[in-house]
Amino acid sequence: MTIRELIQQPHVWMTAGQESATVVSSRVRLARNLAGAAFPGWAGELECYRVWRQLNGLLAELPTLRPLVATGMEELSDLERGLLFERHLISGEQAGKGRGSGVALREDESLSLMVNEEDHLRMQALLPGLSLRECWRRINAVDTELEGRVTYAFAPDWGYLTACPSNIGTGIRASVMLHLPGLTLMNELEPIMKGIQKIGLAVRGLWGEGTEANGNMLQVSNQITLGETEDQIVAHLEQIALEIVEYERSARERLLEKREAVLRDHVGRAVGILTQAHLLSSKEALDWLSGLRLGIDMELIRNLDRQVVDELFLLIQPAHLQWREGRRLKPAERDAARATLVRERLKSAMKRRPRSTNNE
Amino acid sequence: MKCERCQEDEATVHLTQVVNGAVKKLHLCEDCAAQSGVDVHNPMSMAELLLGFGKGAAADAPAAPGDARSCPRCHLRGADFRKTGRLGCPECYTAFRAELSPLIRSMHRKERHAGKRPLGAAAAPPPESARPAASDIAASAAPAPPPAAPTPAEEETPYDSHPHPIPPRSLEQRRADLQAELDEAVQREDFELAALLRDEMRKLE
Repeated sequence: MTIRELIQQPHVWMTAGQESATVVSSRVRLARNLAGAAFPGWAGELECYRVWRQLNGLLAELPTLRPLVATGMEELSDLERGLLFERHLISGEQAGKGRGSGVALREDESLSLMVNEEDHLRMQALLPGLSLRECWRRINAVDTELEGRVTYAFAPDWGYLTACPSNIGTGIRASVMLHLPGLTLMNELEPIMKGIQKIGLAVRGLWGEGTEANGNMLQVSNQITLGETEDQIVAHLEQIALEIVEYERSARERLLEKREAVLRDHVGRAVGILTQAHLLSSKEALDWLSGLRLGIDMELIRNLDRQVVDELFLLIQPAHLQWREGRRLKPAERDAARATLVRERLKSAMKRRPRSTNNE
Repeated sequence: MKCERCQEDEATVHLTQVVNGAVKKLHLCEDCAAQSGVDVHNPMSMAELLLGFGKGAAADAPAAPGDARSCPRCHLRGADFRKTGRLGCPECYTAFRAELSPLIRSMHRKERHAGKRPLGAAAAPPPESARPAASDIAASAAPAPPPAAPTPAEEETPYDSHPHPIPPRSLEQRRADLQAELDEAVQREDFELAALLRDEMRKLE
């Protein structure tokens, strides 16, 4: 299989089960570097290419990664890079790299590795729902296989050494993607997020650093990587995620109790706009899809599967949209194509299950 | 939302920047974002955000101790680190240990690694131990160089384990090394590597 064929498959976190209502997906990534080689940002192209060639050969040998697809970044078009980025399989930084950097994925997309991004290796496990421990177990297995074949840059006191000192120690970043429309509608999101930042966790938007929290989707992750074990870091984040899930549940309960009209109005508008609009910006689409998701979770919308909505969260993104259309689209054209896609998908999904909404 | 710069196109790039400690949000259309040099795919790194190591902050900041010093292995200077927030190679952690220690303490609030270590890596030294030697950094490095008396070359080659060290070799030797690697690459039909090696050899001329 090639990356091109792989892209045609549905994405792993779109096949989420019922438990992933609030915790959409979990991710654990490890940063690793080879002893004796300059970090990618400082090494020249030749040195990067040598590292990529060495690692590319080694990764193909690892049983945990099979079946594996791997490619040098220079082989990928802008569109393909965009698709991988929107699927959370490579970072925005990696999407801008060329020869000397590469990406390797297990075919089910649950494990992905970037070579020569900020560090020689960034490897992640990504699974639907709250599954941080399983993510850590899987990526730890990859790391253990690999450490028998390479010499990592490691210092006894500072742990795994990384290009940026903010990642040293365990080199681990555990994160959860949360959907929190209840807290947003109750105006309670901000104080909770401030509290989370105060206890040393980072809060980011849907696509990581520097992105906005669109669609009420927020990523919460550990920031501190030195001085705590991986198990402690994962357990702490899991505990905080469960607490946020509880806050969200309580917010939704009170929303129904005290602000039912606001809730029904929000969900009703989401259905109305998404099934009728002919121009949708990315932000507007994400925000109303969040409303649909909330309506489904609260059983106000009964004729739509959440999976249809979760797929749309991805398919309305610029690269996916252009890939489906088979051509480059200007931002204005995208808004029209996006609205058409959403309208048609929702109408056909709702036709399949014609029971009316419970939002009367 | 309209782009804040041209006020015409729809803003599709939303940036959150930290400028002088204040959070600033910027909404731009794709063209304006590209024109103003915003690399959408390369947001500021954590260190830059956390510690004001950003390019803006570094430009008018006074020179700091360690700025002029450089890593013996990769030649990154302290000033380079302040500019990018990223180190050049694992050995930089030894070269800039004095500058990095307080930074790492303030970032992580802890100073000692706990958790997984690579197979065969030494355990953490006791808290009051002296700074580790360069060879500790490459802890599990294959055949470690014997602790011989310092030779002129030692400072430059703490990384014997690496297949491609940058030893203090003469121009002719380096050219010969590259030629050997080039011949091997051509034999393996790895033309991409061969092209890069040829470029590197041209630089030496």
